[in-house]
Amino acid sequence: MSSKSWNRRTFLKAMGLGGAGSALLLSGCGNTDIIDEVDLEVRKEKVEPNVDPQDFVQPGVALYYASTCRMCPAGCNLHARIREARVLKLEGNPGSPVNHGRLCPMGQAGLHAHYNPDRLTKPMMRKGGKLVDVSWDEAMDTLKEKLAKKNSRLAWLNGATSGHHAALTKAYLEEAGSKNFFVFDTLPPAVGHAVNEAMFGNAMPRLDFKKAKLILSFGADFLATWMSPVHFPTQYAEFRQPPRGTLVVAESKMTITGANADRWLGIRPGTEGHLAMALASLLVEDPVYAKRVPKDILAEIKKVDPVEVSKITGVSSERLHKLHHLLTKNSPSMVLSGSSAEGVEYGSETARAVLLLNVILGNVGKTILPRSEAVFPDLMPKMGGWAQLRTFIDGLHGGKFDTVVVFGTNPVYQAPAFMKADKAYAKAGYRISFSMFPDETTMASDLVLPLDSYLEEWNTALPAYSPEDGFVGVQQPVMNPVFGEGTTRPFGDMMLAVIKQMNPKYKTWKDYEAYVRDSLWTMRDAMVKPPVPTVGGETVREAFHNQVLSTGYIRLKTKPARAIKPKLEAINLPEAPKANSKYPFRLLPTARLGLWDGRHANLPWLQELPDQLAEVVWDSWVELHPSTAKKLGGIVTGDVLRVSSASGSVEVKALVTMAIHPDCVAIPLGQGHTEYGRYAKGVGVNPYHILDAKYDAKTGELATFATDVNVVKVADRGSIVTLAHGDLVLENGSNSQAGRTIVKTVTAKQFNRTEEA
Amino acid sequence: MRRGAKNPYSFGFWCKAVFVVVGLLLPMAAHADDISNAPQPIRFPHYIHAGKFKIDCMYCHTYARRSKVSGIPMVAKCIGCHQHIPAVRHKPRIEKLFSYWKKKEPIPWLKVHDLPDFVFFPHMRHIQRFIFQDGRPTQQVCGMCHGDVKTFVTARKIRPLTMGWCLSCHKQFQGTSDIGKPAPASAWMVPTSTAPLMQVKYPQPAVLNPEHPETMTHAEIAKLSNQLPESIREHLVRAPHDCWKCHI
Amino acid sequence: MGFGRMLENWAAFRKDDYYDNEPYMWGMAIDLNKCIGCGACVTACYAENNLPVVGKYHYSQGYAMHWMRIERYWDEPDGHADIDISQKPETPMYAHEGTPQEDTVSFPERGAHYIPMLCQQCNHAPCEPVCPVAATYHTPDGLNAQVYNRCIGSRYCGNNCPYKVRYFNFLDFWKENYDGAPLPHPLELQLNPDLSVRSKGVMEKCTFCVQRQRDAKNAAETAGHPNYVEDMSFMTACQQTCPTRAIVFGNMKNPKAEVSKLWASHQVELGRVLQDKTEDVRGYRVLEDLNVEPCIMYMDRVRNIEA
Repeated sequence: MSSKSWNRRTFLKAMGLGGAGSALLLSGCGNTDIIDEVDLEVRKEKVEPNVDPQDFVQPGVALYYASTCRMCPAGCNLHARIREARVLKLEGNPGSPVNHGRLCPMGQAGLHAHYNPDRLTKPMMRKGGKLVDVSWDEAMDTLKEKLAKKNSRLAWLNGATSGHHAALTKAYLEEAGSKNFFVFDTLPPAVGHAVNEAMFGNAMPRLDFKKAKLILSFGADFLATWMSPVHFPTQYAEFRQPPRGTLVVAESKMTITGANADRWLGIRPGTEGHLAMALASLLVEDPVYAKRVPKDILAEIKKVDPVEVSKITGVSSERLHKLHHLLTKNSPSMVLSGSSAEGVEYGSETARAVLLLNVILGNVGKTILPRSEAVFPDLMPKMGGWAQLRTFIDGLHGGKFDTVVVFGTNPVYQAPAFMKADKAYAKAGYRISFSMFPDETTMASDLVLPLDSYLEEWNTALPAYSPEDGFVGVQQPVMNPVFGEGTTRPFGDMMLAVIKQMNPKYKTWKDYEAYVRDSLWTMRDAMVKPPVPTVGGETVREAFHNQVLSTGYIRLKTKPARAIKPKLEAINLPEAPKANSKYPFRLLPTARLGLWDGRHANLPWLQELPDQLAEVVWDSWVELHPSTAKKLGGIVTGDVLRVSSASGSVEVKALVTMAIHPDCVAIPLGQGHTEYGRYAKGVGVNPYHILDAKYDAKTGELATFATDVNVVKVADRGSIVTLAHGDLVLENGSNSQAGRTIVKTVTAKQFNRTEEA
Repeated sequence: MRRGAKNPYSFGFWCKAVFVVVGLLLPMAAHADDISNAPQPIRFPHYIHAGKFKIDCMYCHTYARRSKVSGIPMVAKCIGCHQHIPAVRHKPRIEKLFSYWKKKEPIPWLKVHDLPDFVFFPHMRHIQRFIFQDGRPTQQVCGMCHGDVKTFVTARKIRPLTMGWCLSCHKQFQGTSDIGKPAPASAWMVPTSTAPLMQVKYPQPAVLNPEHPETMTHAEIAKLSNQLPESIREHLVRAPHDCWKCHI
Repeated sequence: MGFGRMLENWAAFRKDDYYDNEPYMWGMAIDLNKCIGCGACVTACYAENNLPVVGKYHYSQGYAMHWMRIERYWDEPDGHADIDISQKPETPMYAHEGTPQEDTVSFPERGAHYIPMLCQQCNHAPCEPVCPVAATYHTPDGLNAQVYNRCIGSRYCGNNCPYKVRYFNFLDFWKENYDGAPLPHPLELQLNPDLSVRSKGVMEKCTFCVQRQRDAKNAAETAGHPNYVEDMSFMTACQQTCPTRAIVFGNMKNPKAEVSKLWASHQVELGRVLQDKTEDVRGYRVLEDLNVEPCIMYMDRVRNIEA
């Protein structure tokens, strides 16, 4: 056979003659390196036994530990699956009334926070202007030197907190004689909380979804970013069982809750309160409803002209009347107020107008339910808000604080540019940061203490929204610290070490674990059903701890809740939101279920999870309606736009979508980090950066949905990466089913008829 | 080269030759390694523990019946006995053991019976079936794949552990079925009666002599199956013959 | 295996009685009335099955490895986009009565159509017969098996899949992570040891969490009932995490299993191309008219058109 006739046929013939062994070459058994196969990995792999494990630890067999998720303040309870002393998978704790055995995408991605390659593993101190690694001894000595003393000029900025972290922090600040405690977290609806507190006596009344026949949400994204991303969907599922409840959502940009609405009302931004008042005015035409409102407020409501409101909001009169009809026919109902409605300068008024509907409709006591008194007020969630951040930053600018501690929040990233948070922080005398990651605030600090993740520490946590009063979630380490003992430390241990120096009574507890165990033990008399020993030979105390830890939560006895007696105040909405010719569009910085407020931008799973509305990955975008895109000169998806407010500008790629009101543009929260590790740094933009200094008149909270912007195209056709599923694209940019029955809709009437109740 | 002449040793010829040689040699590679030279951190003498003292395999390899892996015993297990044996306390291998214990470090054994990462072999099912259900003696069952360990120092790989070899046994216990089609019950190997196993004759040398790795022939097994009572044959135990049972 | 044997096997699992003696037939029911499109199932699948994160660039090239994805549509199958309130005629479902909004702006007023799309484990899978090396076949318990070490990467199966739920490892994602570095420590500690980590050149897809199924069957056998895995004793990762319980998975041969009850009450049968429904119940299978026999039943999304 000459080399010239070496063709494909002869080649294949030769392969066939290769014998049994050559089959291995063709099969590509998972790798293409033949040497490995021949070797069959002999003498390459080690098998290491345990040294002295407990008897229930068996290699190859999974163990489950109960703990609590800390990826957002919701505080769902989880089960962690452990193999060979590593946590591999997180699942919900089936017994938890908060999440009923389920987790949201952030809960699942907790593993990426825990195993993140950019986690801090060494304490750092600023020396000569730069952060350098130091030993734990030096770090702890410095920490104690700075904190273990009386200091009224100490300021403490915390993220939303609860449980024993909150209690210990409070105890420390009392010892230190400092009243400068601030809680800052972006997404908890601070305005809503304040209005609920004033109106219904509790910042977060209990909501009964199952009883509601209709839910009317004014921008409350309860299926995603409104307080409890798992709990409300579990209740929503029941709400959607026959007889199926109806969901109407009024907001300016569609959220996940809006995407699941039976009717989505795209309303002009900032007009939610007006819409609510219009509905109120239609309702009070019926004396049954009218008598539920005090006379002065009734007089105000009667002044509202629904036709005028229709013009203000953009919701047609027919729609308005339809909604009125729905509200009267479906009782009890539930009317919710959310961040996008409350995020204007009259946010408190808006919230009050919206929640007033609950009073008029008689929902209070039916779907809006009271809470009992807190059993341990020190453990209750402290949600915080922008007003507290403002006080903190003003204090920093004014040079009021000589020592600053930041834990669980990232103000240098979150705060709008006008607040000059980075400059303010630079003014603090000595800046201490407890952090897992090198975020913007941490990298601007003087002393950085690397934290254990929530899967490595002992703690307790109360849910931001709890379906039951007296519920306390327990956190325990599900594995040894990832980077080794002593590389990272739990917050509790460090603060306990500090407070021990100030008050010897704290020396009773060797470490934070002992502190938490002891606290739980002292709470046993307050528990609904304190565990008793079941296994022979266990002491009562051992049994208690084993059962509490294997359950993952405790329930405290509560006094019966006193009925809500709504306190109503006058509502002062402006005539109509004013248009601005220089900045014609309202900017909506909307939160995403995934990146949340930006704290999860360093988790690859969540960056790769397509946005639930826009389907974009690993990027930021600015959403605008096709009519806006046309008005601005024919913008298409991908074009780079400059979005400018009076306070700054950002450049971001356009996404043309119908799911937004033409008078606004929306940029999602969460990107635009300048630090925070390889997955977050330099990705996208932060819309908070360009917010104007506008505040809710009543509470002083930053009005995050009140900034107006103008939009200019600066470049063509950038690339925006979305989940592609190969369908034909409609002219408005969305995918089409193109005649194939992939998802179709049936009516609720048919559903109620054909489904089993 | 002259035009028209045929070169017997062309490029094509050598390609073919290389393929043939490599192809023929590859299967032998599975047997080519001599693991008795694998440098284990401690030259653990199985012949003393399993041989002289007749310690059951599963006393140390505890997880074999509970887990996917049989498990190398935890260091505490070795110490558990050896802390009470002053006679050998200062022998060099035992000193080494205690040095690991003192440092609380695991002993870094080299894996002798290593399967590729895409193969999932559950020890538990095999032990449960052959020791607990069939009632065979432990050393015989373990010995089928691991050899006559009570004569070894450290573990040695005496079986090829190739897929074909595993299937040869699975085929015997599956009967002549193809993927998914269950064989009739009479062709299946079913649990033995309660009578002592030694009455059933297994050819002992096949297990004890690593030079001859064959076990029973098909014919021998079929003969043994037919001797078993009908009532026992109704119990259905099937060995997987389905790719996805082992290659997930 | 020998060529003759391969041909036999290709024929074997196409026979109707192939599943008769097997106690399991795994199926799923996904309720689109409850699915809110949150994507928890997608993230749970990534966590459970060692799915690589490919990063922005490779995502744009179509290399994303999401075995489960949430598809979002705005329109109905007949192309009627639920948007233009002033021009579209009234249909029973989208009665846009009355005066249009001020400036006839169009919104998707009934929200988004979400559907989680994953391997349908078709009983007549078009991906199976075309594999040149029989790396994919149908197991007796109704799953479409993918054997990674046998796959040579011809991608014919992916080509044939009507749902496009097969994903090919174009790169060694664990070695060439998105920034060119291997999977950075300690992220590799999260990998699930019960499941292969796939290398370049191998096709993969949803397996209905076969590793969990194996553990469940193992436990059942140890407990003494080898042919009976209790309903809900093992859940797929997506089912386990779904906050609204939209995903129900189970053994369809068990009449008491929740999934069987759902299929029965929605009058959807395996083994039929066009269902014979006496009532307009909501169950359907996507693209079932292609005669691929998918084992996943979806239930129509519901909207109250009186709202």
